[in-house]
Amino acid sequence: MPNTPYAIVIEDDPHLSVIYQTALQQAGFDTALDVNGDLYPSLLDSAEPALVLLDLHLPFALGSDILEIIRARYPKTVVAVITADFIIAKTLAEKADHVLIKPVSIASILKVAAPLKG
Amino acid sequence: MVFEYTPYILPLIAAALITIVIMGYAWLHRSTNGATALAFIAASITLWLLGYALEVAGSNLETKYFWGAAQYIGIASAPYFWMIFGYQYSGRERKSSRTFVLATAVIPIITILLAFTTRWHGLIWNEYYIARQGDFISLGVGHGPWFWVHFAYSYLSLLIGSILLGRLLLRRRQELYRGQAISLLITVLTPWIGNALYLTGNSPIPNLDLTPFAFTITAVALAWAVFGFRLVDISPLAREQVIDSMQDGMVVLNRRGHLVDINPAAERMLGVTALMALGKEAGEIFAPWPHLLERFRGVTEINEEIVVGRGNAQLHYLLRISTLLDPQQQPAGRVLMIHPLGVNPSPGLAPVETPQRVAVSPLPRKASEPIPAPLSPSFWGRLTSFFRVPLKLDLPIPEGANPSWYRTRERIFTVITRLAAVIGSVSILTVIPAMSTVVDPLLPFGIILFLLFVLGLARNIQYEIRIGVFLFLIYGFGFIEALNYGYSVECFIFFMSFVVTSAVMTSRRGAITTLLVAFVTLGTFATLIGSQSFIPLVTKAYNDIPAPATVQAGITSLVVFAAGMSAVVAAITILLENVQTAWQKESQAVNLLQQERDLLDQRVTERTHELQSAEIKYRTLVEQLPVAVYRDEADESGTNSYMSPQIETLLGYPQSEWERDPALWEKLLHPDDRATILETIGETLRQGTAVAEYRLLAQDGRTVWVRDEATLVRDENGKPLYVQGVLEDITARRQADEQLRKLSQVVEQSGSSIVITNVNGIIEYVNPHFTKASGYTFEEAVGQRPNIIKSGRQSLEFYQEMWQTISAGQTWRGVFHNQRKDGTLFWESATITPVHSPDGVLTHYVAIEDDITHEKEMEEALQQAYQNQSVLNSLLNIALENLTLDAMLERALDIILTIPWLPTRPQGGIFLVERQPGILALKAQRNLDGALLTMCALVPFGHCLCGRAAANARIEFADCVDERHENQYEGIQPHGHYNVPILFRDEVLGVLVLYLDVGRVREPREVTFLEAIGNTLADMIRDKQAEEALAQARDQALEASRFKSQLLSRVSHELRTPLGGILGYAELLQTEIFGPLTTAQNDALGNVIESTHYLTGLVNDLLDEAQAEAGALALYPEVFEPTALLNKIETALTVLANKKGLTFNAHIAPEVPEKLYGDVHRLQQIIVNLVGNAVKFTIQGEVCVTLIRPTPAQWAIEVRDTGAGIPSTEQQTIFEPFRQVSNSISRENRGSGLGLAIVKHLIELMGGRIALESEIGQGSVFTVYLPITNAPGV
Repeated sequence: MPNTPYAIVIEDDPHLSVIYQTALQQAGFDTALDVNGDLYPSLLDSAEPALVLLDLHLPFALGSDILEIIRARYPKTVVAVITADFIIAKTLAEKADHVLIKPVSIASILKVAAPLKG
Repeated sequence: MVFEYTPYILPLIAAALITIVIMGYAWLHRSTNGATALAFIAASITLWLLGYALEVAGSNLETKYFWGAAQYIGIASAPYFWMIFGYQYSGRERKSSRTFVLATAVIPIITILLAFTTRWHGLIWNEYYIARQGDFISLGVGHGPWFWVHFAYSYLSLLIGSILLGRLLLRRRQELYRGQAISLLITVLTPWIGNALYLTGNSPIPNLDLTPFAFTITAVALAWAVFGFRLVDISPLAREQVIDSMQDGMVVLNRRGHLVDINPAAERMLGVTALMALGKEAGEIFAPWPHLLERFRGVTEINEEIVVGRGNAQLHYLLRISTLLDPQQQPAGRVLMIHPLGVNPSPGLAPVETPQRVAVSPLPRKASEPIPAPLSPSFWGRLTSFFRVPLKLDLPIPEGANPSWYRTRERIFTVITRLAAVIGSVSILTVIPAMSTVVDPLLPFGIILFLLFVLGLARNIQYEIRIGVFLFLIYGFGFIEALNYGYSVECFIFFMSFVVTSAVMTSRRGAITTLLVAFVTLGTFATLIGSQSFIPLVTKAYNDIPAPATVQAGITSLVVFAAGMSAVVAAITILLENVQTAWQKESQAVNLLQQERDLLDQRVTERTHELQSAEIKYRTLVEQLPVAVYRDEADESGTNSYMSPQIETLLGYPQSEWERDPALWEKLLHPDDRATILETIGETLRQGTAVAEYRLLAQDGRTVWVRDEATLVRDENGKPLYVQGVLEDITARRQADEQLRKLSQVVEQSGSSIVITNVNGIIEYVNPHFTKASGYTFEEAVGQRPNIIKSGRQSLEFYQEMWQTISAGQTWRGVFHNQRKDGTLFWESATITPVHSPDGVLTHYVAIEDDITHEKEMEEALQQAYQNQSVLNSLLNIALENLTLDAMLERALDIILTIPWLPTRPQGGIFLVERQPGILALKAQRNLDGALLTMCALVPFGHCLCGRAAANARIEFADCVDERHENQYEGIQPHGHYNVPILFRDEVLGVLVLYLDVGRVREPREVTFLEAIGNTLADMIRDKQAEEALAQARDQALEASRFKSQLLSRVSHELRTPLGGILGYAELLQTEIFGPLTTAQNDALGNVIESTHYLTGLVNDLLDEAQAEAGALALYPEVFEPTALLNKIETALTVLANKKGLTFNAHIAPEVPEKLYGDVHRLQQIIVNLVGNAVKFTIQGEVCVTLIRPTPAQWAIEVRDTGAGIPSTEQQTIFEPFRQVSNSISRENRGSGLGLAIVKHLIELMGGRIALESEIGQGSVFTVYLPITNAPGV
């Protein structure tokens, strides 16, 4: 499916990752998940993602570092930072394309993802 | 006519030459009175001489007769001209009027006419014949009757002329004129004496007229008169012209005080005539002026101003008296010169007249000047200058000779030699060839002429050599004559000429030498011829009898010659010497006279100049003096008639103003001074003079003080003419006086002591305050030294330094510790200033002293207070340090124990009341005995000194250890105590204990200070205790707050994640990806989602509030557009409002800027919150948001609703967290209760404020005021 957009979800909460992936798949995205913040390099190697949903608090990595890496490697990739910390969210507002504060509604994810399809 | 040479003509021709010279000279000087007559005399004598010479030389009767008659032109006219000369020379010219001259000339003219016609009538000569005596052939005559008439008339004329000259001789004391007269008398009388001898037959040779010989003397005497006495240069008459034309009076008194000369000016001045006055005693002449007579009697030298007459007739003269000296330098009399100075020569205030014009007669040519030779290029001029030889001024003068005489003699000699040379030349060409002589004369004559020319022309040859050659020439004539003829007349004449010429032309020694030479030569010839051993050559040739015939006869002749010539030499020598002396004196006298005149002229010129400059000076003075001069009428009105121009400077009114208004002065009088002025006018009129000082009003309104010095001027009769006076501006002086008076008053009334000493430090003045301050009276202080008030408490060096400063002329400032008379001490601040006189000499010292005892005490007290304060300050400084209470107490104790003036030992401690009330616990100590540390660790109130101090709340003092010191121990040292309670208001916090030496006295000063220390310590302790408690509480509070915030933050974070799960799954379900839903399921999912949203809002609010309280809330301001903000809100909230059936309106006022700077997210939160509330609590109506700009610096958000309103009691509390309007919580409008609190926090964080207006039932208006700020860098 060369025309299917690719999205990576980096989220340590199992429920939320399911919800995000489900929502994105419904929207027509191929999705990949990194739960602990250790898989994303291989995921990024496999294909250029159209969208990355990025949680900041991860067991093995810092969301902000991951954001830097994605920005350096795939400047076109849309990164949406999802966090509960409003203050951190503010600090990343410049670098990230979108900042979503938890709890994140499906609608707001779809709103981010919709322009990236095809 | 036939002539024959005869040696007799030689002296005649020589004399004639001299008289011709004199004639010419006199004629050229005919402007001099008498000179014309003298020229005629000389002419007459010349004719006589030449006539006689030709008569003698005539070889036949006819020739002799003719020349004999021709002589009468001279013979008859000479006495006549003599007489005329006498008249003219003696100044009686008026008597020699034309008529007189003509009348007296009748007889001489008749005589001349008769002489030429005598052969026909014999009235002069009744017979004439050739008379031969030896080789002398002359005309013998018999005298006719007219001859005797002529004879008598001639002698009469001679007599008259001689008498006139003789009178002159007697009258004139001046040697010059006397010399002139004497020489003239000799000139004239000598030939007549000779003539008389001839006529009476007493001539040594019969028929030999002695007149020619006499004429030799005449010629010489005339030459003396002309050249020696300057006969034709200055005559008595010329002198009179000078003296008489003088404006100055001249009176000459002889030694006996008789008046011997007076000039016309003096005649006028003295009111006498010369005739009346001459010969009279001076006392007689000056009788009308006895004071002058008395004043100047016996005065020989004076030069001063005298006043003659009085009143308007007063005349001023300059009188000069000088002594007249005779040739022997003995006083011969006095000369009085009187120079008129005119009327009122001294300048006064009288109207200025034109200066005295003193006539100055032109200066006469100085008589002593040599007559300059006229530089005439004409032949005649050259000829005259050839004979009128100028004086040879560069002639070397032998030492001891009279230069004038020496030069004159050389001049005469030159003239004679030139004349002789010329005449000899003429003779050799004309006369001599006609003569039959034995010897061919040409060669010797040629040699002689050559010699004469050399002698006459070569003036550069030494005079002595020239005269020597000349004398040798004459001697040669004589010698040749003797050689040829032996003793002959010519021989004697030559030798006589030889000696006389020598006597006249050389010195006395020369005369004697020539006399001896002549004597020896003649003697030799006498011996040789008389003894027949030598026969003169010519005599031998003609075989005549040689003369002298015998030695005897020769010796006789020789003796006669010698005696005669000795007499002549002596006479000439004496005459010459006298003449020289006289000449010298006369020259001196003339010079003196001239000097007098010059001096007088100079004096006159000077005086005139002085008068002129005095006049100018006076004018300048009057016009430039800083005073005004005025003249008023001599009456009470004081009407002004003149005012000098300076008045303008004085009062500002120009001179013209005063001329216009004669009563101006009166108008300008200061009203207060009017009485003074009237008195002054009266005084002036009564006493003639008065001085007043009063005020006048100047044009510019100034008051000018003037000094008015008025003088009444009266005429001769004492009638008042006018008042004249001087106005002087003395405003400055008055002010200075006033100033001085004030200063003096200041000194007298000064509150400072003022002492004036002289340079030696002796008091000359003290002011009253000094007497008050020191206790010494003025009389006691003056004459003493200022050390009478010296206390002796200041060092010697201190006083030495002071004296060094002031004696060096510098001002000294310092403080004295002085002692009053009663022994009390006082402090004085002093300034001592040296006073210098205007010429810089140190004369006085002035000391100004102020009592500063009080200040000194104050200063000490202040010093004390300052020290105390600094101790307290250092204590307080410790309190500021971050120390524990115990450390602070120890430091404080150290400071207290080291206060220098407090008599404590370095021993003490501080007790505090701590856990147990009523017990003092030792908290800090220094150097306390070991026993005490346990014994006094805890001291109950009331026990021992410390306990009592605490119990009584009062300082306890002990000077020793006694029964009051209850805590005693083994080895206790005797000491005293100050036990100071540490009191905070009335509460005893503790006690400070200080150790003292035994025997100290309780000092109130110390007690006061210790109380202050106690209080300070109390403050410090209390502060420290409070500070410690506060710090503890704050730390706890901060910890709690931090914990709460962390908790909230964590809780909110932890809540969000599950909330995300709930929301996510609910929404996924709703999308039915997990399968289709029933309606009921769908509704349930809606409720889940709604609850989740609510919970999310609650979590957000909680987090915000927590952050706000923890101070962690941050703003992220940016530039935004209010319009966009409002649109966004409107979109979101319109739906919400419409849901409740409400209207939502949003407006923006035009004044609100298009762009603002702020945290747009938070602003939106604020508005949503407020609008949300409004919608929540409004049932119907509308909710309205308006952006306004209430002030230029603010913008505001106004949220208005039509809800129920908020009760005023709750309006204050609704902004507190978790507060809601009571009873408002319902199902519809539940909330966290944090909204408004967060809003308020945010607004305050933004630097704004929120206001609420509300009434029950009337709705509410929330207004958020925010400052308009710019983005940084904008």
